[in-house]
Amino acid sequence: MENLKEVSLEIVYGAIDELNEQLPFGQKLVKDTSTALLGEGGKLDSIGLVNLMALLEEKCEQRCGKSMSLFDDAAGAGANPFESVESLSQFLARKLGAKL
Amino acid sequence: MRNQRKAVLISDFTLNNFAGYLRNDEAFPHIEPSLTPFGQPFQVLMDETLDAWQSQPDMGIVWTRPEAVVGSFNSVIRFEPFSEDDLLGEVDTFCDAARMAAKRVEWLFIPTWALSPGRRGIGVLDRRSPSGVSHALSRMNQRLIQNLEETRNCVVLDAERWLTASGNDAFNPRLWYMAKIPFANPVFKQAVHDVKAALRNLSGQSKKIVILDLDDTLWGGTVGDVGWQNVVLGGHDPAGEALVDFQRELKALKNRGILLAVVSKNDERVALDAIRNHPEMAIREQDLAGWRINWQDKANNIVELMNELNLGLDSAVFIDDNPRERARVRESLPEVLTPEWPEDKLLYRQALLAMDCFDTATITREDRDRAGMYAAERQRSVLQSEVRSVDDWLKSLGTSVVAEPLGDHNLERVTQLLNKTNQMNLSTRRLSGPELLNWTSASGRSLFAFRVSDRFGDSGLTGIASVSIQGETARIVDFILSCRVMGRNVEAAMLAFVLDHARTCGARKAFLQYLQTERNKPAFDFLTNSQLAQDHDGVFTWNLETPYPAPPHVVLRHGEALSSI
Repeated sequence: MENLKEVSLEIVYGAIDELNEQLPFGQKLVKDTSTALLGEGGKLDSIGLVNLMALLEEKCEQRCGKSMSLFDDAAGAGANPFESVESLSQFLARKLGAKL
Repeated sequence: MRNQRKAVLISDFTLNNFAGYLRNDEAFPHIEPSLTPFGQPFQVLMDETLDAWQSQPDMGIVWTRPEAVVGSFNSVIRFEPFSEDDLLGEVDTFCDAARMAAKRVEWLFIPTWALSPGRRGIGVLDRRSPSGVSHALSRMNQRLIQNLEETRNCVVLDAERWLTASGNDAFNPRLWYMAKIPFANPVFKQAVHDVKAALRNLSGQSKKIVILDLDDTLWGGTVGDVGWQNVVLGGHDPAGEALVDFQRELKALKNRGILLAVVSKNDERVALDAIRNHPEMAIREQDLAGWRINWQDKANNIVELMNELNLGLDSAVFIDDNPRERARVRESLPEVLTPEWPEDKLLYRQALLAMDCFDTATITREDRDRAGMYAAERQRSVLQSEVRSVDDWLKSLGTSVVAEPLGDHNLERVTQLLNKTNQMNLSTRRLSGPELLNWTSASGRSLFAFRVSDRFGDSGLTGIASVSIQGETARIVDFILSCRVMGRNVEAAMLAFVLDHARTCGARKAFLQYLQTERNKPAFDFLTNSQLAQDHDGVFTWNLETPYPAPPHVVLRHGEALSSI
């Protein structure tokens, strides 16, 4: 199995690419682990967050062939996994590890 | 058409994703969308005092779910008793609201209603049965289209097409339950694509001509090597059948008014033999507006051909199987649309059908007859080479010009001509149908359309002249003639007519302000060679106390009365 951390970051970046297609110029997300998503310095609003989750779920399914619900698990994940690209990819790596 | 348009988005659901794609889409024109309050489509449509309308948007897009705006449809999907009269009455109410909003914008786009995900209704007979959900929805959409048919600036868009194209990716329950977004992003992308295409074609920006290669494009193989009897076309052969289908689709384009032409590296005699004699050819010589079949550079041939047809390069699409030829044309003629083309001939038809640059809002009589008009023009050219002088030639044509005021019967064609004509165009003013009607409604303004025919055929509505009279001064605002009829004294007849009209209305002096563009030098040349006085900065004048001399050999009919000028 490929390195889960790399795979999850690739999935997050792929979702960011697609999300950026609909975000206004000043709100596009930079593909960098330090990019803040929600909270202080974050550029995502609630609709953006839902879109990002939907895209991540689609991409995980395409990549792993298994559907997964990020929303339910994210809600019970303690620290907010959507704080930054770094925290999101770590959360995703854990999810993928548990699924595979 | 302006490059920047403002759109107000009206919906009962969350349209943020659609707004985002619409704003970021790079295709012409750029659209700046603004969202209206969530879930209040009726209020927004009917209340002109709302903020949404204060920025004077150019267009509105009203995208709703049927269950949100037609209450009885909820009974349909719950299989409760419902009255079809009530159902359609509610559609009428929605249309009334849409018509109110349409008065505030240039265009109001309304996607048809679509069924939400996975709804099978009563099953396989759902569309047939009066209690079927899709049956009811079809009736509602049909009523929507019929109701808005007469409202020229209300454009109903086919949302079903977006769902079909998106397939299994059309819906995402996550988006609906968490954000009230009923469709997934592929649907919104398709919608953006169609809205842009509709705007371009409503503004007369569609392509006018397809220039085709021959070998391995219209038929398979090299005709110069194998002879027309042995090219791959038709017969019991997948590629042969696909190429005939491709030709048939091209011919269907021709029937919609898109010209067909050929630019091919071949021996002309050999290639024309194939076009004339191969039994499976769907496109024949008379279907072609022109051709350049020789061994010269294709880019140069395209320029020559477009000059011959009096068309701008940006109105052309070039289709060639050879990637090197495509690259050459793309590099030297970026104005010509040269699409990537599939290697597999079985995909040619599909590639052509996927192109939105030929979209048309309507098909006018002139569109259907266009190829025949070019064939008649070739006959005129032959006659011109046979007669002794230009004057003799003009006399032999027997040209007739009919002037008529702007009205419902000619608005579509006048708008098309106003927005498409580049060369004989005084001011290159671009206006939509509603804008044109609004302009002519002001006091002192008139617009005339001119139909032209001669002994070779009817060229249809091919000229426009508009005039604005204030006090004793008349300004000729638009003076437009299709390149198809230029050089036959029609322009001089139009000028005499419109100046005579101004004189009859009490004006004593008339002027025309020439506004230069890259393409309208023919208008300047005509005015310079006319009998008008040229003042300064492209202003041409005429003292109306003297009638403007009418050209010889042109008969003008105005309304029912016949007068020779």
